[in-house]
Amino acid sequence: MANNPRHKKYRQDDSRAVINWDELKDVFSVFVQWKRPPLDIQPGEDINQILGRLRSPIIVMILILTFGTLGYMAIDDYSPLNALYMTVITIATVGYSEVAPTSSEGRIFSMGLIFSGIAGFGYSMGVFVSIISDGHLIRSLGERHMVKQVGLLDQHFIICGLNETSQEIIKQFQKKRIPFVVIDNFDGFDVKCLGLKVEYHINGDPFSDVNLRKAHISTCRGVIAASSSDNDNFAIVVSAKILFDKFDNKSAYIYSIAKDIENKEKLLKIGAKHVITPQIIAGQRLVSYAIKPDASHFVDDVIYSDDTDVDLEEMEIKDINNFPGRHIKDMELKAFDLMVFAIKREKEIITQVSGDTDIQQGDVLLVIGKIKDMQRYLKKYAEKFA
Amino acid sequence: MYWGRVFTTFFIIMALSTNIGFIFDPSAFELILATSFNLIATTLKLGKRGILSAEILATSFVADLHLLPAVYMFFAVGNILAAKGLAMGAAVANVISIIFIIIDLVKHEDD
Repeated sequence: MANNPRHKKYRQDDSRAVINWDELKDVFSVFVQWKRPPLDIQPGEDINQILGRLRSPIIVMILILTFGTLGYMAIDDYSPLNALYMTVITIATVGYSEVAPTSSEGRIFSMGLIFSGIAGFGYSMGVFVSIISDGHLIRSLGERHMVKQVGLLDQHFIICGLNETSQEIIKQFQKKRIPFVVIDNFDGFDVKCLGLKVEYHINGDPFSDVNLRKAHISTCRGVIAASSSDNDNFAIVVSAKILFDKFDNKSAYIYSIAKDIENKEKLLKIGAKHVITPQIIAGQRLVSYAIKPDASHFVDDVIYSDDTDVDLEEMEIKDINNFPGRHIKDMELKAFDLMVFAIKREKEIITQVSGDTDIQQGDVLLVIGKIKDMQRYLKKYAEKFA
Repeated sequence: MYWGRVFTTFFIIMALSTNIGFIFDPSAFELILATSFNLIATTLKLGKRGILSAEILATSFVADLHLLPAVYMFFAVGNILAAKGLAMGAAVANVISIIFIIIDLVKHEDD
């Protein structure tokens, strides 16, 4: 069966689906890391930074311990273990008694060691405690795991910004079982994601290249710039566009929200495929409800509601040779009680559709029908569509 | 001058030279110094980014895991010959580590 994410929900819903050995092999290969797909960015950069912060205190500790041990061995002929023990209890200001007879020179050395050692020991402990207490280490380890998990995603969406708008997007994606990653950076982001049952989330600035790479932009289906700030959306669109070019991801698009109507044109100019201005959409929807209430409710029910058994599906003709007759009737939709009510051909919308209407490669057919019929049809013919 | 690099190179070379020193003159002081410098050299390689950073860190761990048993053999067991043998192993790891560092440096300069 074709690897078509748009129709994936039907494959998942169908309990009678046959075992696909290729997919099973892929999953198994990934599981045992034989064929783990490459990540856009190596996780653990933050951990490297933490290790970098640990370098100085560890070196200081080793130097003090070496200096103290060798000093006691040289001055008072301590055994190596006694010398090390004496050094540790001295710099840690534990104050146990001397472990072996100590000369005056040894005591002078101890005094020097106490002053230098306490300073070094205090500095080292301070750095250790700060690394543990600021939670950076634990967060980095968690993120490392998350980036590896996100790296397994394919044909997912990246939602930049977590706010009321993106929460609705998340709800719709979860309902349609479309994989997605959310990126945002505010206090309590992780907790909020947990509450919204968001499986994949990256805590960081959504316009940052690094975070878009962590969200595995190279295989994504689209980036949604849903930040509350238009400035952030500009940065997200530009970053995503550059990364799409870099990773040669030609099938992905950028979708954006523009709070300010003036920014819509600019966002389109810099690379967004579609830009939504909430004010305009709200106005248009209100007008459609006022003028065509039944039609509006019908469309809402079909696209967004859980209570209807009718679904609207887009089917793109991948290869016209799959339909030798090159007509709608050759698609056998009627046998499944499905109906094409419009064809999108480049910029034209064809609404007068009958069995004899011709189809072309690249056409996007808007098909309506019962969900169970759609499942049956796509189970049989999914590989014929892009 | 890039003092960070001076510092790192100093400890890495010291790790090798003190190690060789112990092999020729197996004294407690030499062994403690060699072990300390090797531990410092390993610490300096932690979290470093480079083409061969993983390999460099691994060879450094190899040297440490030769020298720490050498310390045990020297001070606890008193088997100087075994300690010398382990120190030789650590020296080999040190040499390989330095070769890796030079390759990494040359590649880095090329890029």
